[in-house]
Amino acid sequence: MEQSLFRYIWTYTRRDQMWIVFIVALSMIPYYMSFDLPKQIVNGPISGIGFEQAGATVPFMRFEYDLPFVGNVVLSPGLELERLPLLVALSLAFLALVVVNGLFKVYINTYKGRLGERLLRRIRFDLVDRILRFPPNRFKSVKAGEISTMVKDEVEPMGGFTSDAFVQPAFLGGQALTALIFIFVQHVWLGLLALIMALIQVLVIPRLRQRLIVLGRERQLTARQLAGRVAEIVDGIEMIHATDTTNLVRADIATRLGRIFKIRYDIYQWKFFVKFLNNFIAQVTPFLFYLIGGYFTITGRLDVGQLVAVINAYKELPGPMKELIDWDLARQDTQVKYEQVIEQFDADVMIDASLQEVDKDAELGDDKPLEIRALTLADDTGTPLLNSTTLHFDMSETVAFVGSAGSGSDVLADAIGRVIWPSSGQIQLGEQDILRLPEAVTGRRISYSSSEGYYFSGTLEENLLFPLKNAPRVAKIYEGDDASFRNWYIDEAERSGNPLLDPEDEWIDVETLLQHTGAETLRQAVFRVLDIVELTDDIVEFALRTRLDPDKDSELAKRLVDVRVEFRDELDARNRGRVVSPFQPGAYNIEASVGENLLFGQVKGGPETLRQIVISDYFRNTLRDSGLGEMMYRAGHEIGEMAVSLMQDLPPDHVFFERMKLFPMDELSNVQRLLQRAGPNDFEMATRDDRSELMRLTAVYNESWYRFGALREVMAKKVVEVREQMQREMPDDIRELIDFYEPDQYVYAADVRENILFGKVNSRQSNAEAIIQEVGETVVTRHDDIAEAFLGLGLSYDVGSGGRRLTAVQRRKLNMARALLRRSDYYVFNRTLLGLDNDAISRIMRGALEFLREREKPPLVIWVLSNNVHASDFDRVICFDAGSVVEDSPRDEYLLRAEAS
Amino acid sequence: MMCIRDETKALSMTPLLKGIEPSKLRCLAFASDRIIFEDGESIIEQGEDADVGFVVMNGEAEMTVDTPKGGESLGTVGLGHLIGEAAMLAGTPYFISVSAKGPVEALCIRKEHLLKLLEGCADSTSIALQSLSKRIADVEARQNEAVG
Repeated sequence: MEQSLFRYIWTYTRRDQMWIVFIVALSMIPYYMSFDLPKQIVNGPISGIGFEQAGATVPFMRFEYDLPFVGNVVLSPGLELERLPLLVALSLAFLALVVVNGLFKVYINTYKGRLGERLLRRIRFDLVDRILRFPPNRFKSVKAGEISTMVKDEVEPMGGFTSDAFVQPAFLGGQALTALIFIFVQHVWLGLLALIMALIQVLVIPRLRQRLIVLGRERQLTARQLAGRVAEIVDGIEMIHATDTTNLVRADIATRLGRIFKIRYDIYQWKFFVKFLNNFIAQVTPFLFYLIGGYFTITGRLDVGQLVAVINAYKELPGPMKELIDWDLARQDTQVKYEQVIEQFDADVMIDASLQEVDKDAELGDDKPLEIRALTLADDTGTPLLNSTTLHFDMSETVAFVGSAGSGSDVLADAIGRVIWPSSGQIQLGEQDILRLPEAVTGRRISYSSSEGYYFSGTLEENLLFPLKNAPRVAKIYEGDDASFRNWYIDEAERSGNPLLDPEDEWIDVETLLQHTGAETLRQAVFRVLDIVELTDDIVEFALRTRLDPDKDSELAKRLVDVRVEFRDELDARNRGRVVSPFQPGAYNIEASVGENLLFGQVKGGPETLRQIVISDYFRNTLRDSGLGEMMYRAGHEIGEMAVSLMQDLPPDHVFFERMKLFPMDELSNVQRLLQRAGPNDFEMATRDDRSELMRLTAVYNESWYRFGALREVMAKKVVEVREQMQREMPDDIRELIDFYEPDQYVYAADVRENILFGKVNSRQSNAEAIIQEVGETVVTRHDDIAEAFLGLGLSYDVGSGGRRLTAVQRRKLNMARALLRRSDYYVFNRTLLGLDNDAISRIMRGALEFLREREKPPLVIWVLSNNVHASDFDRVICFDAGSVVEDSPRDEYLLRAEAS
Repeated sequence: MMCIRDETKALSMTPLLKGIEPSKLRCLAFASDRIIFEDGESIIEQGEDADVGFVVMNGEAEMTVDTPKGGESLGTVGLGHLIGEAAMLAGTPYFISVSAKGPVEALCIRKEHLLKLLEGCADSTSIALQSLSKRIADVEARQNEAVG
């Protein structure tokens, strides 16, 4: 990138800059005319100068100038008008000028703003583009937080400066020069005086401001480091908690903030001191004018009129001077910021831009062998990780790399995946070095997958399909307003030097993918690889935990109500109906809490909504009037007593009380006091809070879970009665907060699993969960459309930032699935399945190998293994130790030797 | 519907827990799960990890032991019997298999809870030891019988 921001701006905005200077100059004409008009209005029609005689006329719009050397020039003879018409005409002209000036201002500001924004867009894009072209080792020293704050915040002022980069000095310089020349014309000595003072201002002030720039640079660096540090805290939060180092982090942050404060405070002090000095110099000049000019006048060498004219002219000088100096400061400041930023984006070696060009038709499958030629790999300090190694791999081979960590096997795989670059030697596809080949070739012909993948926040499917999106295949067609927006977008992108690639295009080469996976649709291809890596069950589990969207999924919801019935029938048919205690209108569900039985539905929204319902007048009054409130109050007392008596002998955090969810453990003493305060028969007398708390205890009480015997037959009946009453007469504002349980309706506020069960798991039945699982699977697999919809739902699961909502094993399986989904000639699996047990590794590995061998032209597969347990599944086994190949033999030979030893 | 009171009573009937204060047994009952087994359903399987034990509350369960000759019945147990006790105390897999003979209702006690309870009572440790050694002796005797 350009070292000088000025040159960068000039290179990309030259034409716009010249245009804006021209427009600014043009706008000066109406601007100065509007200064003159008020005087004309007051002196002419209002004061009546020129209208001394009745019926006299004065020319309107007469332009004549007294120019030096030329004499009087009449540009327009004007229109003769009487007094009143002239007043109207002049006022209207004034109004017109106001509008014209305003419009000029709008145009200029918009134009300048757009200019700045375009340049900002360009710089930001350039920076990110450079990140994409950094060599891998560069990222070891880069902090994500710092880089992102540079791209986001630090370049921001450059956009603002761009618009003023040329206009401002041209314009202000012109103004200052005019004023200075005017003074010179009046009096040469006074002119010289003004010039000298101006020079002092121009030379001294910027020098003093140098320190401001240094401080500004420090401020930028410390702020950037702060951003990096904060990002690190977020990334390392687990370690910080685990090792009780939060206070060390606090100390570090406080110290950094202290340093930043110091710098910022220094900046203020210095800034206002310089400001004072600047104002002082500006004010000293009139002082000299009064003194020296006065002296000249008194001694008769200057007349009074000239002195007044000089002083008046000088008024016009300090303003533009000051702004010019400010502009210069801004220039230096942004230049420094710019240097600070681009310095971070400079690397000795960059991946050549031409290697990353979009290429739809990178050739695949031409049987080129993979060659490792005298390859040496080293870490940052130069310690060798792999000693000079030469290997040859043919297409269609399956190769196991066997060796422990540090043996060199994993770094060789990394090098093939271009995660690390060789210190010497080469990796070649046929005759070509992979680092010199376009990424369109290497990135597609080689599929590399390790135990650490990259997962961005988004759905599982987006993460899975990401590596397939190498180049736009089918352009998205825009129509109507979208089309014109797209055109505008393209135009702007071009002006900012951004590429015109559209993420909305179809980027996946579906045809190749289907050929590769032998599936009929993209979805089926996805399911196939998910099956191989054994993620299908997890995905179904995600689907079961999904809440459907009533707008999008109403069809599926209808089908799930059918599944609900079928599930029930199947349970009954197996004589296992008891494992689920269903929600039945008119019946109390013993497996659910009293509150859930009363509400008989799910609350839309969170606990806040529930609160809203419970404190509503309707709800309170119904409970009171029906007598259920008092029953619940009494039962609450009983439940409280029982809980307290259970817990009084043992510490409340004893393992025995893990299942106590009636109230938080540290509330025990409060509950004890509550029970003493409010007796079991004090429903009417107890305070509102006490009454609510005791009723709440009953509401969350679940007889089947706690077994306190507090649920009497009478109360259960009453609950059902009040439930039915409420469902009949509940006001609409409360009704719409609840999704009721109705056997033929889908409950959107509940997840898919709850909807299929439509009841509570009866935990007293042995193996209830397993039976439900099995019956559920049987029912769902009967319907292809539902099974597929389930996988689809599961695929829309949000994996969270960095995939944190997945387990480590799920992430690794996903990473492996991504590699399998790609049609490549060489697959490298670098301990991809770390953390799985040997049986699972075996199953998945065999599945994957079988899948890849099915292809017409089977690819080369390299698999880095931690031990030799699985080596027998490969054609060829290469053993590594201490950075060297110690054995390289076909499977049978290897097995024989292994057996012998 | 049976409640904690009944469960506490059943717990106090088991030899191992006989001497322990009812208030503590009540806590143990609270911490445990009630489970219903259908006729013929397996309650514990010989050789599996003994993480839990079952106190029979209702019904009868049949004990069997696998021998080289096949399953050998060791008789039935009923109300107040703690199934899996020996294995839990000894920290070994289950010595025998037990399955429901007719519907059985039992209280499922987690091993960690049981040990936690015993740990707090000095008396119970010696009772546990006695109970354990007696049981092991019993089982061995029967196994020998079965083999011989």
